Amino acid sequence: MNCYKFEENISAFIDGELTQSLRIEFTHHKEQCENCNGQLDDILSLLVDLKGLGKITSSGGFVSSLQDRIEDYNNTKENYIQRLSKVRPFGFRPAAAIGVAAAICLLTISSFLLFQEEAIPEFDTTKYSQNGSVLQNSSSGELSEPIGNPIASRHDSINGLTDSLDIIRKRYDDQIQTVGHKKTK
Amino acid sequence: MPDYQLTDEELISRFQNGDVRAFDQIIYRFKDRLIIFVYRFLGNQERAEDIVQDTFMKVYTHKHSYREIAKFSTWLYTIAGNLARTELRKMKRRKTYSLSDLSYDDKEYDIPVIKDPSSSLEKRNIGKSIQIALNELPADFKTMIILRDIQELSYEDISRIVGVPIGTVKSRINRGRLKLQNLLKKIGGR
Repeated sequence: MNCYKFEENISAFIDGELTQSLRIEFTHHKEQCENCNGQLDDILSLLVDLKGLGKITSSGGFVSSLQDRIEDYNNTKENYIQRLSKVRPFGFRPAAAIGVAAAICLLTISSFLLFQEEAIPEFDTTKYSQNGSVLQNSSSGELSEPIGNPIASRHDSINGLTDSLDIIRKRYDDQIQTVGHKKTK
Repeated sequence: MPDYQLTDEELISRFQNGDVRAFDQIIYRFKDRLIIFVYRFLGNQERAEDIVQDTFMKVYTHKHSYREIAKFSTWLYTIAGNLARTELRKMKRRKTYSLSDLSYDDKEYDIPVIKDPSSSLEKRNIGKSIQIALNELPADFKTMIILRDIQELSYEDISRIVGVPIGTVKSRINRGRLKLQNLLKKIGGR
């Protein structure tokens, strides 16, 4: 047994919990090593001193003071409603706290009612592409024309110009000669 | 059967059923033991008495929290130990916990409650040195040394009070004793 193992087993030796073989090793080391022998003696005398320390008692007024505290506790013991009435949520008194909570609820409900779906103008975003150009109806191939849309009004003017060009084309059809082609009749 | 013949568990059971006299008997049985325990832990008798009063108040107000699955004394020491640890932390924060509290005029030696009439000056000095060394010891080691070597509780009871396995209790007590012995040598108590 070395000194480290000896230290580790001091309490077990004192308590008589070492096995026979360990006890023999422990005793053998104790006889061989002066330091460890001295350490064991020190620990044994420390235990004697520690046991001798337990000689203090309570002061005279201890029990009467405790009984006063118990009496105070019994006198001030409140029921559930009394304790609840003393709760101060966020520093408010219970009535004020209930008022604030009711106000917050009212505000939330009125906001919800105000911004319901009927109150907001309908706007079909599916008709417009992301860059703002006009989409075509897949079924008819016609351009959709939302009211008040600047893209749609530009589309109107393009349509009108095409119509005018058609009228001019019909009226002067015989006089128009396509460049690079010979007029045939 | 008179109250003093009842076991601790029978007393608390009676108190749980409304017998206030049983609580008085509990105070009578445990007050000194608890005061020694807390005093050795804190190193201040006045605070130790306050903590023990708080412990009894907790027992009084939470009497139904005790179930007879552990010894009543274990429950009581656990409450006192927890309160003492909290108080020690507070004391350290307030920085009022200094060696000057343990000067020659220490309160322990002023009050006439030391029952041992044969205590010599040398003995008192050893006691004072041990208390200074105990104050320097880490809380875990200190609790176990007090419970084992001053209160003389069993390893099983200490294990339940501090909530660690018996093997850990034994090894901490062994290391605690060695640390305490080294501290005493440094202080010059030996």
